[in-house]
Amino acid sequence: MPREVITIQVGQCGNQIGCRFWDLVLREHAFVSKAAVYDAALSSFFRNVDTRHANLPGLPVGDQIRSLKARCLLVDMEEGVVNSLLTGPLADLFDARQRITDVSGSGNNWAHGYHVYGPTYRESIQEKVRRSAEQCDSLQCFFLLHSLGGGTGSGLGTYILESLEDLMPEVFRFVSCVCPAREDDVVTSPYNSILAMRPLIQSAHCVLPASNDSLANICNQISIRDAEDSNTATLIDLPQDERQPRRAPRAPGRRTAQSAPPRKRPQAEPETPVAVPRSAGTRPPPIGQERPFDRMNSLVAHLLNNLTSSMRFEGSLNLDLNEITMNLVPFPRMHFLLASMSPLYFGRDPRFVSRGFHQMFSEVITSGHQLMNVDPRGSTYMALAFLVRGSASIADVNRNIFQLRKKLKLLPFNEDAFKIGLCKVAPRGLPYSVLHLGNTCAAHQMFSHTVKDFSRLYNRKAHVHHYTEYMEKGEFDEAFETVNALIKDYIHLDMLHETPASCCPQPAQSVRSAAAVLTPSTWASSAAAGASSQFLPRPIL
Amino acid sequence: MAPWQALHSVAGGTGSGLGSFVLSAVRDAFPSAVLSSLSVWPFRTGEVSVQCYNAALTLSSIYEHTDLSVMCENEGYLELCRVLLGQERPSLDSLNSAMSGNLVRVMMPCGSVHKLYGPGCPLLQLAGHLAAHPLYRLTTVRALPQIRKGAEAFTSDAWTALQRRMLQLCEHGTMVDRPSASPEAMHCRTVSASTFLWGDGATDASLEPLRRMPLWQHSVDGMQAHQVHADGHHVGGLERSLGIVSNCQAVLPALCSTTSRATSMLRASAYLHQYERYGLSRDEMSEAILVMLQAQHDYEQLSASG
Repeated sequence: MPREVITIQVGQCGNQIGCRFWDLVLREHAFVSKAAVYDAALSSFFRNVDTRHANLPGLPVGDQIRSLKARCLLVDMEEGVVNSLLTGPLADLFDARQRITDVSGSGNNWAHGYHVYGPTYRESIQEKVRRSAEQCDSLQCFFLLHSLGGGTGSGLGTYILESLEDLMPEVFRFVSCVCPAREDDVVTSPYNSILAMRPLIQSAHCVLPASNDSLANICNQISIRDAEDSNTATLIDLPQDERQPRRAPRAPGRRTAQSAPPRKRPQAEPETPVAVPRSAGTRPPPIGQERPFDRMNSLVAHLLNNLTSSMRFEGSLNLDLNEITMNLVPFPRMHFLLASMSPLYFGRDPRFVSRGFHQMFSEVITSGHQLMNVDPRGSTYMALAFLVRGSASIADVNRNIFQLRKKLKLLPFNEDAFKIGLCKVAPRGLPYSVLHLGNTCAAHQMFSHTVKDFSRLYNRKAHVHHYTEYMEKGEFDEAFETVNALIKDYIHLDMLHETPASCCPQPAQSVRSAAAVLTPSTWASSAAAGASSQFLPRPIL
Repeated sequence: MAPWQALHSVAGGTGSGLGSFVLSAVRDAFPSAVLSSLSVWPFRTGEVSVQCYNAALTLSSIYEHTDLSVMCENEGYLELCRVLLGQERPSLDSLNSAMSGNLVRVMMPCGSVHKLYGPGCPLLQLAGHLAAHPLYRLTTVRALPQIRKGAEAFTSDAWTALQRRMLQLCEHGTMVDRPSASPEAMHCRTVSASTFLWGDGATDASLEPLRRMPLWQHSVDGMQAHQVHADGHHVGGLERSLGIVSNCQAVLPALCSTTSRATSMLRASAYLHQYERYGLSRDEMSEAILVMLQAQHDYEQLSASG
């Protein structure tokens, strides 16, 4: 089906996550469809090109796979990460023309990314986005991958988001952003985060934040469990883990011989990884030759993979990205979704898969599986979505949702705000899995933490001079106001279960015309006329 | 002029939205043709967050353009599959099969209808009779007996037994043939109905039990409001089976829950910005919900006046 997604990876973090994501998508496709045919599932993320011609013409769906190119734009103001991607095992996957790089980087400065690199590269970005969009039959959405704590990802990334809104307003803009941990090694990360949140609130359709704290927690949890039970595989396993026996020490960079692969199965990680530390977040201890953050990045990659699985594979209840936006976002600016996945680990031996379907569902709303650093217990949920992959039936899912409803607080006018998606293809090694996306009022906690850190710095005007070199000081205040207003709206909705005033336009005319419409209609039979007064609903506000 | 039958759901986007547009387009092109819609209503526990908005908008289009609408609720069919057909975890495919199994008994060409109206689909031919009153256009379909696959050869019900059970189903407004009725089951009144008897001795069967169906007092009395047709063909391998399409109060539970959700969502202005993106204003949404409220009120009035 032509429901193409164009991915835009900005900054070091965005590109590293993207690398893991493409790796995962290819492995999954190779596992599911053994015949090397370019089918509709692949066409949403890849183009099939004929490399004999310089301009890489695309081939139609149904042909044999010649060479796959990802529908992707790589943007970074430092060359290191993008170069390592383009010379690494996934080099052939990227079209070398779809990259924008510079040399000096943004120096962890949002203003440098947004106000300097943004306008400089605006034309180039728009031209490349337009070219990618022309190669699609029917573009569904843009996926932006970046982090909020740095300079390029947050500054240039949000500039790109706003220019996408100008260029193609009707295409959905999904953002997956990585929020810095509370104790981050970039001092100015609160400034960068708050300044980046303003465009995210105003221009994105849907944001899936992942906090470094939560990602690190999940990875630690999995490692502990891993140490106890060596026969399990985990969601954060890297390619080299699969080819080596579990107990043996991991030999660095050993390439194992592979049997004739479907063309795009990636090789083992390169022998000399460029260990460029990401500028945000705590670091888990490196194991063998993996790069830092690889395991945390693969969690986010799994999130994106599961999110788009319904678009790529068959199922009895498909769930597209635009359906997620529609069902989970009742009020325009409150579009920050809490994501969580279950199960996180699985037994290699199917006899030891101990996670039942019901347990999986009840685990997925616990904090140990969440990617955002908030506590949703006790907060109101606006809407929830469950994407179930694998051999699950609608009856099972309904039953579990029915049980779950009793534990959750929902908005009174939206009690059946559950969106279900069923995809037939399970992730590799698992009989089923569930991805939960919840639009909860507890999202304001994420903003509140950042606002506190921001105020601590801004009250002393520390480091502000680096930013005012490129922008007005008023932008700080504007961003701060926007984020605060959103926090107030979330709290208002949570406490009072009433729509915040900023979300419902109340022009006087509409109230009058609604009242005119509500008089008894001419259809009412004469017998019913007497009872019509009791049927008239209260005037709709 | 050949009749038209639309099949769609009312909760989604394409089926409900584009479906409504198609209904209006067909009505513009063929003003005098019979247009019927077969709408699948979603689970009341929630399938799509905005299902009540979409249902209201579709229902207003149905009332404006179609002559007849058959309402099939996911929930009823799930219960049917689980309880009677013995499937522990029914998939959507089995729900669809159960739905088609019910519908085939009212849509297959029937001998006695053929004699009166000529060849064709009985449901559409009888649309004029079923939806004679302009206010009442929503119908539901039931079929008996409800047994699991493979047990057809071992089932043999007498016509009187089948008719009595069907009468009970119609009185309570349910679709699932269960022996004990819950105490709060409503007493369901029928505006008009058509019953189809399929199988051995159908044409000669006594119709005594069916005559006791509770009709709306303003319906035309006796067998005029409730027509019975028969054909000797064995449908679904069953010796004797019964299908009924009735315009009755069984549609009320779905209508009530949908309207109450829709009005409270509209009061809170939830999701409206998503519809405004594509040009559907708040006023149009409240008008559509009003149509649904009106339909609910009309069906409730059926019991008040008798």
